[in-house]
Amino acid sequence: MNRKIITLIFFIVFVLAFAKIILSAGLATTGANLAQLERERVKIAQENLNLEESIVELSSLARISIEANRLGFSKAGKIAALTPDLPIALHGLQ
Amino acid sequence: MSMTSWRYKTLQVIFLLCNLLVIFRLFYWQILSSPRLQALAESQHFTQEEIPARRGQILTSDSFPLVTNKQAFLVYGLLSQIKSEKNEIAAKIAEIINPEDPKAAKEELKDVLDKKDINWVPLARSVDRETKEKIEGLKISGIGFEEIAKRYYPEASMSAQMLGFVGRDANGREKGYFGIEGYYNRTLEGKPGFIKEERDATGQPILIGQSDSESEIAGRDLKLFIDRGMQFMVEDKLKKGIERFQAKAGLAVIMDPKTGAILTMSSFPNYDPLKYAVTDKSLFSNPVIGQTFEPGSIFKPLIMAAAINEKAIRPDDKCTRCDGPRQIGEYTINTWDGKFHPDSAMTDILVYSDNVGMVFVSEKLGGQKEIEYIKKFGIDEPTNIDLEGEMAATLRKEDEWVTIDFATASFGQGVAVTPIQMVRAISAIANGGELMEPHVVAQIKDQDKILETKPKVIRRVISPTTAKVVTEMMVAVAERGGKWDRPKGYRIAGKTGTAQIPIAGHYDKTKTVVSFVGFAPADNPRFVMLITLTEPALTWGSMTVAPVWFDISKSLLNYLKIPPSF
Repeated sequence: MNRKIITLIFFIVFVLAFAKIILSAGLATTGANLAQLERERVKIAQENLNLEESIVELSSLARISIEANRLGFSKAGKIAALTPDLPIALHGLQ
Repeated sequence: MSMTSWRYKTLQVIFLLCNLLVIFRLFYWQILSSPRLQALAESQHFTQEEIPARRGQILTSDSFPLVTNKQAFLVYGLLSQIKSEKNEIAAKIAEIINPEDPKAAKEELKDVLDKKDINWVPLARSVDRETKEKIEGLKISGIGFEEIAKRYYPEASMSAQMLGFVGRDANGREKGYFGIEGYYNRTLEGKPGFIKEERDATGQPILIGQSDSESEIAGRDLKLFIDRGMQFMVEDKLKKGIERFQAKAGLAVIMDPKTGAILTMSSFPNYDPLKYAVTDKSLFSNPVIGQTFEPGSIFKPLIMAAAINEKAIRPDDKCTRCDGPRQIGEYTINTWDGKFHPDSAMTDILVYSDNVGMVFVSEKLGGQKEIEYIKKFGIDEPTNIDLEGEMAATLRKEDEWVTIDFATASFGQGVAVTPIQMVRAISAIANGGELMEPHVVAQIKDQDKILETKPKVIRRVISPTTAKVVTEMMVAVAERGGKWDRPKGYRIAGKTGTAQIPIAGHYDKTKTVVSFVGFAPADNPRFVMLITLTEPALTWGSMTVAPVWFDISKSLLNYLKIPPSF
């Protein structure tokens, strides 16, 4: 009976030790995966920033003004303001 | 004692001494050297990195980034690892970083690479991504890159003096200087974070190891009242005006008179904020807030408003002393054109910009009241605008004023103002009598909340009735004061000014500062604008700055979609 208990204890210890080794090995590689994912996240975030930079550069008034000149746009000439006709009832008051 | 006993005791002593030695060494390594060894172990197993905080952006009213951040790189060399010929390396890198002058760049790089007493040397700062990739493509061993953030100005040097620039403080940390960058440095800079984690021999993080971190707090973004389209247009027209009239300098500032919001602020000459290190330091100061000038005739509406508010004069009163020059002590006050207008009405004094008439008004008002109102209009105090570098013009002490000082102050000579003080004072006439605090920043944007700038009334200066009366006088000036190409269908209030520049105790008649200040539409002003030109080729404001003012105002009225009123 004692021998069986001792054998069982050894077996449990062995299984736990083996499990710990497997878990630690897994965590070690997970650390590497995590670092890789972090690098990819940083890369994508940087690409987003680069695209935002490009948008800002292309929509600056300084650039648009130069492009407009190059494409042959010109400033508006006379600008007329259109005022709506007053209702007939108010014409008399006017 | 037997021989055996003697040997035994000797061995005992030797063993005891050896044990004591071991105990002492253990004590030394485990107790005395423990902190040092712990730190050494930590440095091998732990890495600590600072996470830099993103500096806040500065946005215009349409949320376009006037100032933002761009990815940049510091190129460095590790001299111990550079195997290739240094001359060749310098030549190749110089071609990439300075294609316009590769020879000069090569010489500088060669000097750096030839250093003997250090290993790490900086080769180029703030290079962009494309340049970095080109240098990387050379595959030179010993050349490395460190990523840094660089301030980026999509609209180039637009509003440079209002924005300020970002440099480095004594500790090498980023710091804003002048303008918005300086005033709001603490708000923009954020707080760096750090990450400290245990890593294995290959440098990978150990998930179940110890770690500590604090997230960085990004700097807060600022949204301005500045309208990007208006700013661009005003800068373009101001620059052309300066060139056309061959002025040495010029500035324009536009304010919403009802709220104190600064809609545009421009000055020339300006500079490129990215090249602050090689810029003449005298250009850093924003002349709108940091330089004073004698305003000349644009000051007259303030004195006129004071006299009407105090009921010292009425608008229909006649000037009984306007038939010739005025003698005050040893000084003679004359009109600008040598013409006199006897019995002119108060409005005509402004229309003709009559200095003799203004002396009459000043005498009716009284010296003490004149100083009181000049102070009430804010001329003796800073405006507290949210920009670094404001220099408030102040008046001399009251007991130092003599009769001639009151006379000359009435037409804007002998007093000094900054442009922002002047535009704020005229805004008090435009908005019905209240002095407003000017502001450039409309919102401070956090991750969680937005802080809005509310309009702030400093004090009431004149009554609404007085403001209306003086507005009508200024409308008469704009309509009758000169042959200008005014916007059709709008009532515009304005005043020209030509002030001689004091040089070495006397006024130089050939050197003037010309100004035009005004607001539109007169009945419900949407903007107050001041433009000044320094030392134009033609000395009179009505011939130079007034046409520039009206040209800009036409575009502004269209841009703001303000329909004509008649």
